Amino acid sequence: MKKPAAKRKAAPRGSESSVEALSERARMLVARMLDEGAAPGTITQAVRKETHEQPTILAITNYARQYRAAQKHRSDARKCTGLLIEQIQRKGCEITDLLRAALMEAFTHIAESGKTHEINLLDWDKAERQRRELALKERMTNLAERRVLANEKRLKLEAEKMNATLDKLDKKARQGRSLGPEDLKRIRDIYGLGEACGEDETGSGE
Amino acid sequence: MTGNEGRTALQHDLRRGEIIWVLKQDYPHAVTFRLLQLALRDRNVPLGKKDLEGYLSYLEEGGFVRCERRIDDEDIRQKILSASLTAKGLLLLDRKIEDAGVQF
Repeated sequence: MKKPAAKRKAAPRGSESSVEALSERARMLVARMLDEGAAPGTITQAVRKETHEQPTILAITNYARQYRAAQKHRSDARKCTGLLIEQIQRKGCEITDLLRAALMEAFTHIAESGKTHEINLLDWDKAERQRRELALKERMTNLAERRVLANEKRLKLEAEKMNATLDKLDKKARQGRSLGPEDLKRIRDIYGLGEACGEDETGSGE
Repeated sequence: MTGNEGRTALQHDLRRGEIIWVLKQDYPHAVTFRLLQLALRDRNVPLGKKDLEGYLSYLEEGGFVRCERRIDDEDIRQKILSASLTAKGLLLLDRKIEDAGVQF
């Protein structure tokens, strides 16, 4: 059915109900003015003045909502990239500019795909806190492990020392030389035996 | 130059200007080629790979942007991975210098 001519005339000549229908030059102008925080009314006037096109305020308002959402994704991605790089640099590592850009792209993709929980800064902070706690626990475990290792090393050294002493005594015995009180004391020390025990043993042997 | 050619030339100049404007948001850091393409798309300026590469190459020749490239084995040609605005590009954006092929 044909629309009445009067209805078609109702809309202003050349008025556009969506920003996509504007010329590229006008679209660029709209985006730049939105970047500068201009109001839809001001943008409409500027577009009219510059390109003689007539976007409606509603069209600019709708587009602005969509545009700001995209800008927010990008700004969130920027924050997350900055935080991550800060953490990496704190560990003494360097990040190339290309890697930074790639991280930024990845974070933007996460934000755009709607997985906002993955980019949520609070979650990020929480994760960082958990990471720090884990690192602290790891450090404590490492310290305990090191202590155990040091003990083991000490025991090993003592065992080696004991074996060396026993070898010396064994050699002495094989040479037919008798072991003196000094040697007995050494054996007692090696096996951690008390005076009485040593005396008993000496006594029972005789 | 005919009216149509003039309009096309102006369109190229404006697109180059738009690229500089977008790169300014991450100055002095680089932006990946794909992210730059997406940012332009969000601004209702969708550009194909070859067109964007052409604009970036022009801007790089003028010293307004710095591009990082790698050889693409499939195409046997250099592919732009990322681009960043230079100090000279910033001066151009601030209208302290001029280039006949860039308009804002």
